[in-house]
Amino acid sequence: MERAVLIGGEAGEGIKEAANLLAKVLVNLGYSVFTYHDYPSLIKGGHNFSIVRFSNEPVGAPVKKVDYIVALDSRSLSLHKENAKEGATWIVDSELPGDIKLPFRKMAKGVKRSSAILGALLKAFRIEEEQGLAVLRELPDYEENEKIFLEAYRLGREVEEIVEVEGIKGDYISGSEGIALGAVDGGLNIYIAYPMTPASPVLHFLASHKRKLGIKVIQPENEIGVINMVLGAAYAGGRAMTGTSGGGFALMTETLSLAGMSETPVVIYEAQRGAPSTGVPTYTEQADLLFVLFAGHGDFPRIVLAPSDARECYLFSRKAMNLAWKFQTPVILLSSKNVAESFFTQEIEREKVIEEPELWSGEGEYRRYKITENGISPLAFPGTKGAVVKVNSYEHDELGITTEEPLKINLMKEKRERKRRAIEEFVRDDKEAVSVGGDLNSKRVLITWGENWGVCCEVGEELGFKAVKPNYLEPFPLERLKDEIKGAEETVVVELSVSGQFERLLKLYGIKADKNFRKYDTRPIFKEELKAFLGGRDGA
Amino acid sequence: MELKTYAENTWCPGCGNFGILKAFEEAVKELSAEIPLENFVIASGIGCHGKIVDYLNLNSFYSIHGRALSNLQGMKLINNRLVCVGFVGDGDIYAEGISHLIFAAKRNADITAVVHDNRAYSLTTGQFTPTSPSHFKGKSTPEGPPEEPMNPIALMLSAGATFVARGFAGDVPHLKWLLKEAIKHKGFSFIDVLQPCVSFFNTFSFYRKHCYKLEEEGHDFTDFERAMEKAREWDYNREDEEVRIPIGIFYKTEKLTYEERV
Ligand SMILES: Cc1ncc(C[n+]2csc(CCOP(=O)(O)OP(=O)(O)O)c2C)c(N)n1
Ligand code: SF4
Ligand SMILES: [Mg+2]
Repeated sequence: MERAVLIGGEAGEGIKEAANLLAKVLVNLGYSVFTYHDYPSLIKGGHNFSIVRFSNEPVGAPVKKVDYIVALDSRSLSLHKENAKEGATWIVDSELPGDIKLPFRKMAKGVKRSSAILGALLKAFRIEEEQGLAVLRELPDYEENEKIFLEAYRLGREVEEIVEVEGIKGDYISGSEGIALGAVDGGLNIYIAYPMTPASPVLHFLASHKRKLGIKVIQPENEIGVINMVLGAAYAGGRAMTGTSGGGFALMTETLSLAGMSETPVVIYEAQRGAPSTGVPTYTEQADLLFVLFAGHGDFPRIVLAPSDARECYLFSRKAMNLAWKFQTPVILLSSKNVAESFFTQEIEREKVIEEPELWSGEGEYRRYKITENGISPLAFPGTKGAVVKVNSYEHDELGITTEEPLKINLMKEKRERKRRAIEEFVRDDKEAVSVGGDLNSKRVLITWGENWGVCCEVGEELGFKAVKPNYLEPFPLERLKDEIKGAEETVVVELSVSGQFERLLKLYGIKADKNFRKYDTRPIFKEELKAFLGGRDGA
Repeated sequence: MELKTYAENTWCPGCGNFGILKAFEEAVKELSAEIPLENFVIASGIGCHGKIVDYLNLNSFYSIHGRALSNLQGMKLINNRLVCVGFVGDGDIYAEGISHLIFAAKRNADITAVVHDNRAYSLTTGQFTPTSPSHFKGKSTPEGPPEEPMNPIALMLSAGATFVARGFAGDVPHLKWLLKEAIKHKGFSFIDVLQPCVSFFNTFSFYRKHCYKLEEEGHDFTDFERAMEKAREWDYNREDEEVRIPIGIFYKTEKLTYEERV
């Protein structure tokens, strides 16, 4: 049993909130819910819509066609005709033509309209009032919301019964929350960021919970200040992280190279938006890929992890924190808008995993850049008796003092290179380096990364394609990936980039695909689109 | 107590930076009675001034151009016991990193900024900086810069710095005193150190002749308006015979620090 509900209206009238409230009720009833939020870069007016897709089987991809449409304005009527399945139910504001009419706009103002929408939908689904009240109780202004909700519930009309199901038990959680919680469970001490969509929800979430989580959250003057404060914090022994989108990351790149040179552990969360430049701020793309992989001047090791859903956001963020400290080098979490701002129903088994980095033994003279076999020099922090901790952006000797001597330069470059190899080895052995899904026995393979994973798996399962994705983009898990596509009769690269950045990356590693599916209108890949492309029938 | 490292000192003989190094070494030695040496962290930008961190056997963060104060603010948020001193250049922090300087002052971050103000980009062989006078014939401005110098003292007063001072690298005892006062001050301390560069802008005799000490003329550093007046007494462009250049503490006040408020 699967249904999808689209809710459309203006920004500021509770569209997104209504979708999330409905989703929470459905999750409480045992459904798996995937919610796609579509909003332009404005605060009031314009057009927002959200699609709540739910099923008793796990769902993790956006769909275009829906069974119910809630329209608060005439724009929603015209815009979303294309989303209506045959026989879809239109629940509309009283001023508009439709199947079920409620005076949404008269009943409630602003974001509280979400309670009215929830009332109408729960009535349509014959879901008991109490289920709605339970989620409303978490909101401020409960009493008013309750009144609005009950009124809408009374005015609404039943359509079908959505029953409680056995089955999916999970948290209703966004990718952004996954990133934030993962970092916290990886030992985060301080989050430092400048606002930039679609990375800001992590900043907002951590800021609103900072006291409870025991962390610091600050917003400095610009991204250059941000990343340099992150480095300072890490130098002093604090687990520090920042988040931004492509433009902000571009500003950080000089310091990214400093992190590599000074061997300072930092985690940078990069949530891609439509690019280049300011681009399409509230929408999605995967066109920062090559930039992130190659950003920064000079040779230095980095790790790039790409989560596809909330659970991976949690796990990879926690892992990023530990890897940054294990290898004393920058780790970038590369996500995109529809991972960051979509909501998933997934079990997040929260657990603190804070691996101790290699620390100075306290014996002898401390050398920050001690030459070692695996290139990792034990850490000490300022304030430690007996240790003078000198880090340096210039090429340096073991003590951290500037050098221009060829032999010493070679020693230090080779030390960092050995560290890069150690990271490569680590990734080679990491069972999570590559994910497989879809029809595992198929000889037709979809190769993708990041946010397209859900859609590739679902379509793959239905149409007989195996889905494969690297979870690390650097170091690239080439052997594992090659293993997974060995013997494939057809390979299709699925990505969000007009120039095919991911396909070019694969080519660089000697993987040539037969076909590609590229989307770049900055909207996610809807299930119907990929199905149509791969030769299936329209309609999920 | 030996604070020197084995690094070879590569400043030009006679450079004003030696005076800053000496004053700081002595200040640290004297302060070490109260502050354990391992709690000092020095950071620097990129330029001739930056080399100072290589010469000192203290925890250090040799940063990139313009960013040292941001690094220090990050450290201080993690470990409030650290005593953070940034050695930055006039090109470094009045041009490349100006935003970080203004914001460090605005937030009253509990760090000290020591600007080696030689009024030249020296390590890049002599271009004009934000404090070069408009007759400065640098390599990129053979006719002098087509702009007026900025007044960093007035700028820092406006930005909200809670300790604002000017020193002279040619007066080591006075500079040592200023450094100690700045380091002991809780909150953001700023010292613009007039630092002659013997290779690109030798100002030693000019400063010797025109500098006078605020504390010797009874300046009340708790009075913001008087501090502003004193800041404007010399505009970094005047070089006439009558000009008087105040050094010492212009302004000092107490406010909650950034670290306390975060
Ligand atoms: C981002 C960046 N831009 C330019 C440079 C080149 N550079 C090195 S030192 C310097 C000027 C230094 O001037 P100042 O800060 O006044 O220091 P001084 O040499 O005078 O002590 C410049 C521009 C650099 N290192 N980094
Ligand atoms: S160039 Fe100027 S500032 Fe640099 S070391 Fe020589 S005298 Fe000092
Ligand atoms: Mg200079």
